[in-house]
Amino acid sequence: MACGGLPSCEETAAPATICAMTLLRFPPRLRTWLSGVAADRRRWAEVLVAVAVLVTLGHALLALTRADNDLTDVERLRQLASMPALLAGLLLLYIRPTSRIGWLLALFSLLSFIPQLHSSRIPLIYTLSQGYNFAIPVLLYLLLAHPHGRLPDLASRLVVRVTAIVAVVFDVGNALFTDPAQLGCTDCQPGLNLALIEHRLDVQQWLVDWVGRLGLSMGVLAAILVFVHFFRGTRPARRALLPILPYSFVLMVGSVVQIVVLSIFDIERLNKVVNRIGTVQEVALLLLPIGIAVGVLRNSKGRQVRVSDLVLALSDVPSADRLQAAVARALGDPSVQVGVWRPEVALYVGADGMPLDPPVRGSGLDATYLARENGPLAVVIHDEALLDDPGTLASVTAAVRLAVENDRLQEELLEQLREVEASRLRIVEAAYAERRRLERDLHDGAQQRLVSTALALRMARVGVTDPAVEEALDSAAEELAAAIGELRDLARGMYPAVLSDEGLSAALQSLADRCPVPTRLRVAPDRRLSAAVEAAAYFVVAEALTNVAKYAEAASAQVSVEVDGGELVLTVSDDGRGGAHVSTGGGLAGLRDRLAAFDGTLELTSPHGNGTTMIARLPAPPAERSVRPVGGASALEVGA
Amino acid sequence: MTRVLIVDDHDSYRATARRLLESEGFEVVGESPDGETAVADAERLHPAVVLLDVQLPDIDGFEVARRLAALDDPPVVVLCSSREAVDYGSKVKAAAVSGFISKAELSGARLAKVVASDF
Repeated sequence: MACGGLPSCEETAAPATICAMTLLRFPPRLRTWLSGVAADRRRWAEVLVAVAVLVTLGHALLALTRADNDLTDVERLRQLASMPALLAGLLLLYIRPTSRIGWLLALFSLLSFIPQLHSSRIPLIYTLSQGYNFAIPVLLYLLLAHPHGRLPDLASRLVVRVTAIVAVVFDVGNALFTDPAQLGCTDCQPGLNLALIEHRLDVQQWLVDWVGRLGLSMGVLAAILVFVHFFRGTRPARRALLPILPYSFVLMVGSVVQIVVLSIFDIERLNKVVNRIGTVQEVALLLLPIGIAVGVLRNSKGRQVRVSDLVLALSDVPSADRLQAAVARALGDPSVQVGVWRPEVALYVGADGMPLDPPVRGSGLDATYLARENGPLAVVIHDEALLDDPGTLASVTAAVRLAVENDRLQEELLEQLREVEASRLRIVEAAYAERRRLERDLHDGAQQRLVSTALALRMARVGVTDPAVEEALDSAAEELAAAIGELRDLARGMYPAVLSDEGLSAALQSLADRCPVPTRLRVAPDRRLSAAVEAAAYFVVAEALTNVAKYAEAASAQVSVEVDGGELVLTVSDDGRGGAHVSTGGGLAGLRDRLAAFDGTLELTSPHGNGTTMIARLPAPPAERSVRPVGGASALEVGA
Repeated sequence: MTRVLIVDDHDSYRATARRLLESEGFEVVGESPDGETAVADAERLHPAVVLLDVQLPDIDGFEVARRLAALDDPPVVVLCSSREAVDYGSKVKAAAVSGFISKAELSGARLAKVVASDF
């Protein structure tokens, strides 16, 4: 805008008023306060609205109480013009306090009040009232920035800037070179126009001919741009732009007619024409703020609804094609494609599972890329017209990001869980394999040597006659026998040979036979299971029977093993005192952990005084044909 | 004298067992380090008793016992292991053998007792 190249005016998009504040010399404290207001959009809007409310109400009161016969129809209508704009602006600011359109409407309302001061005969007020066209750049800004409150393209920005310059040049020029008294104003005292330098008809004519025509051309251009926005726009943009099309049309036709009249005839004729077509224009202008408010609300409402629909649709991690369909619906663009980044192939993969090519320049498509710290996430390929609607695009891509990231995280989590489960299984299997290896090592090594030593002792004993030596040898043999026995128990507890040699049911039978509490065994499985599952099952029963013997004070126990639909069900029950529970760090908790490694479960029922029943379930895939030794320790299979 | 064949894959144990049994009046006619050799030796040497280790590098003691039982002149088979009979589940009971002796408890008297129980 025309404000001496001050960049801040551009950035805050705070038009004429701020510029005026900057140009005028306010005292420093006021300037600080004002710049605070300018920096805080909300406060700025509040101040603006407050001023507009006061001014408009005052004006309405004035207009109602005053019989003003020299007013033309156009002027009467224009007196009202600030009202709908103010109301619409208030409405928008009430609904959305940060709405740029809202405070632009309020500003427009304020500026369009300026001409009403024209009938004043107080010199200062009269002089200021000559800012007759200051509202027009704001009006065009409203039209071209609709519905997002930002000028979407270079053409729109140019039109608004040129119009602002035109308005200032035209009004200031007229003020400097027009004496109202010489223009037929009978009650205008000399010196009423404080800005007057000299009454110059030629300058006035030049202003109308060139600057005025330029301004009118800007009106035509702005109207054309609105139609261009409409026809190029996405579905939501069109919905929002529709309510301002009537005024744009009137503006276009009216401006063209005025240019034509001005070119063929003169300013006298123009004024007559303006009085005619001006009525239509002013009526359309009165309705425009309503159209703007409706458009903004329609747009934001539709967008909110569609984006919230999208978020709902994405809340349960959708399939790729459902994601794409939901995004297309939300953006109102059936050509939307969503590609999810697949790091393993380093490509964006579309809903159809095929790699997605980035859009070519000039194809009318654009791509919005989503990424996170550790790399790309997804791409949304859409009509480039959607870039006009960055709000919706941002909301939709945020929703897509949530969905894709959620999906990715869930996948990663599952993958990690699978890895952890697999490694837990490997650890437990390795533990069993290690037990088995230790058992073999003991059996093949220390045990054999001790056994040979025992035999040697016995042989040595045969020829001995000295009672002292005899006694020493007997005692050594006794100790040795005890050591061998302990070692054998230790080895058996580690991994019973019968389990690897003959399988679960033989091992359980041997376990039941050795249990101090009389134990009845019922085993159903007629096949070998995988070594790890057999080991897991064996140790569950072993631990349970140990508990029975240690704590249950039971008279008898029962062990049953059944295969129930691919699941091995181990039941160990006793008639003891009950009251058993799984305590952290206890044997049962350890059992449960090991079972969980095989996706198994442990269930304990142990009412006080009423025995204990423990049911363990674990998936039991049959052993593979070539029974792989647990943990692959095949070298340990050899030897006995 | 009772003719005995000792089957065990541990050399030291075979040697000790031979001396022990010989000292108690058995005639050890041969030693076999594995199952296949044991069957061949039994066929060739016709021992009256085979002291048979359960865990052998090739076929296990139960299989050897089955094959020995199928010979024309089947010997009395006594299983022997550093483990206990119960460690083999029901296999020892089911096997075609006269008895089971834990390796550490081997003696001529014990062997004679097990063999005698068979007749």
